[in-house]
Amino acid sequence: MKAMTGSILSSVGPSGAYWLTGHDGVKGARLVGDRPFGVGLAAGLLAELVHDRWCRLWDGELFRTTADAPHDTALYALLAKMHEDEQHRPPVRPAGRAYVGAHALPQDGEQSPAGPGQTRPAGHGHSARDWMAYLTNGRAEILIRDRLAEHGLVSPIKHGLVFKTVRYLPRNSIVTGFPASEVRGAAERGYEMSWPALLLSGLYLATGLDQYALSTLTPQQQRGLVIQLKGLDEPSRELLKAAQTAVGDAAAVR
Amino acid sequence: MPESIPLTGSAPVSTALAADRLSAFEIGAAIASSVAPLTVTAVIVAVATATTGLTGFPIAIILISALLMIFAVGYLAMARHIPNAGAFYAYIAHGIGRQPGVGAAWVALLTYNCFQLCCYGAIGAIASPLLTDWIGFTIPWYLPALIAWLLVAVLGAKEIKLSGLVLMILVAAETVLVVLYSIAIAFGPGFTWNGTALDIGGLSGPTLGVFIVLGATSFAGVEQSVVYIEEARNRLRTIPKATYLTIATIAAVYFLSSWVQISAPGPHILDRAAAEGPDLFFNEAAVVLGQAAVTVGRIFLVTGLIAAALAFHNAITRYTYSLGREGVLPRRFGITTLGGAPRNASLAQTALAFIVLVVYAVLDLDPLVQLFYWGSTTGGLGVLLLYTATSISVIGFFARDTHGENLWRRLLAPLIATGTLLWVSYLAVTNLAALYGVTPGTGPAIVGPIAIAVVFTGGIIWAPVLKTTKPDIYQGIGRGTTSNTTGLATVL
Repeated sequence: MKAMTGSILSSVGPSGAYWLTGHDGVKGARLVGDRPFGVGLAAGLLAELVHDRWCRLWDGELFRTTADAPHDTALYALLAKMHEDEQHRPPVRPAGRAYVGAHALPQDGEQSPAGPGQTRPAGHGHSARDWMAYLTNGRAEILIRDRLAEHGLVSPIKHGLVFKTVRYLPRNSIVTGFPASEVRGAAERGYEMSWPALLLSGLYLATGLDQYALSTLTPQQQRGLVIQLKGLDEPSRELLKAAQTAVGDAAAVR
Repeated sequence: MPESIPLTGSAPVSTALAADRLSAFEIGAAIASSVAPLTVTAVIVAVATATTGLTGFPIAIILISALLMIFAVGYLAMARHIPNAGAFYAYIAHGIGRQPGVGAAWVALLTYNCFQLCCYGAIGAIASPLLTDWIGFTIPWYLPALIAWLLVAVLGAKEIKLSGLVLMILVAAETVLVVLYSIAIAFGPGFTWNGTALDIGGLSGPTLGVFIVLGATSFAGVEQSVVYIEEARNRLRTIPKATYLTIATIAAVYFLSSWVQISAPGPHILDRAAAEGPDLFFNEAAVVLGQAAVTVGRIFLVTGLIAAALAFHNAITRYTYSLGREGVLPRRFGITTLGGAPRNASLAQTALAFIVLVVYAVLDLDPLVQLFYWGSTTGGLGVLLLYTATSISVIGFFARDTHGENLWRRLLAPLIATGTLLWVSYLAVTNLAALYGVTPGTGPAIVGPIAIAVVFTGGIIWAPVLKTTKPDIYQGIGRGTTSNTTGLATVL
């Protein structure tokens, strides 16, 4: 199995790539509904935080693991908000066994971060479910839009003659097709996918965007993708499952 | 790093999240949009009075609202501890067992379809003479019914925002009309309140069963409040507040409008209810407001019925979608469009409605009696039986684990509700002929309950088949979107 590395994926991350695919309609039109789109972006951002080891996901809660700041503006903003929220909370009593920091984070593919023998990380926990809901309502999109703007991939466009509104649209309609094309290409050729590509395909499946992005895959190629998805790290899988539940709940509340 | 950091400097996550979520008022408005105040006031009150020959509808409304409030205590308590709380079958699957849960799911689908399909009958019967008057040539009942069907099909297949807004506007408009007409009638010449309408002693055993079914029909939809549990600002307080306030508000509107309607004709109420039917309420208002009140009332009645048809269409879609996700129904019903709408489930209901309308049109059946009245009554009976089974489930669920709920919520209130519901269900089932207004053992009095029993038995039989052939799906029954047998969860 050859390894697949995606250029656009590695530069804008799975969340940025998801935003681009979501805007792969005619003239940059959004393909996905507000709710599934917001959920996809929120889950993608949280997964990036955990995968890049800025946070640890333990028993449904996110724990900041380091005082360092990431270069990425979206992740930086998330961690800054977590830090700010922690200032409003009472101090946490030390855990029974000290958490030894970022070096002890579970490796990709490691099972159950809250499994037997593991202790609750020190510090304040942030409910991943609450954070996903918080980010879903447009907030994740702002962060991702800013990230993509820094890469010169989106720009504000004014709409309306009387009541002018600003919409952010992809600057290049070809680029919006790249992420899905990369994932499809890898699945079609049976390449081993990178973590960003796998998470992105998981986000497609969790939010229904696979109906557009992965529609040309044959059943055999889909099975190959499924086998690779099973190899995703536990926190990413948990976040994808939570995303799928959130999208399902939204569809059920009608 | 940027000088101004997005998200920071704003409200904490918990505060922002609470602001994003739904308040009791917003949830109450959403629930209220699934009831049909003008349909109940104009059609059900007149038909119930004419059919039973009794004037006790106002006091029956008070009784059923009290019963629903007691039922809601355990229902809402259990909702906090189970996933997929918006569905009766989820309660029954968790409280009694998966097998009756599947049976209940199928009965719920039948019940909501009865409510939804009956709306088209009333729309056709009421809009047809209106359009005939305006256009000058005869319009068959099924033409306006098919136009309404098309409208529901389009709005129902779209995302919630559109249909939700349409529902709220329509229901708010008809509620205002009901209140205005009621006030006008009450201030009309020679109006006196009818004391017998409040005489609880007038509701003997058999008639109580009839009125309770009609009452259950009138309140159908209020159980949907728990659908919003994940969206509520405060799971413990918002949903109960919204539910009780909505039941109380709806009860107040129905009580006032039915009492006014029954009082206005004085001693001739029974004759006029039989002769004028759905026009009785409008004719009474016309005495004060002029003849235009009848035309306006009929128009609002039609729009209100369309709102009800849309609300029930959405409820059916939600059920079908949940069952499709769990694998209890074919998976294709459990997928959404790119916009997030469960379109396959919506289209399936639309197709069923079309078939029923065509059959009724071809066989030349009466849209008002044989579709609206028989359909709504069968739906009322079905929902009453579902309330009863759900109430039993609440007791069963908390008998295994108290889940930290107090004695009133987990045992006493559910016991009172279950006992009362079992009694009135017995009265309803043993007085079906009076309920449908037919000779005992004939027509819908025999077909209605048999249909419910057959559908329930079908579910009961289907469940063990699932247990044998697809044990994963069987284990996930009643878990809705959190089921491990849905979509990506099966992979991960």
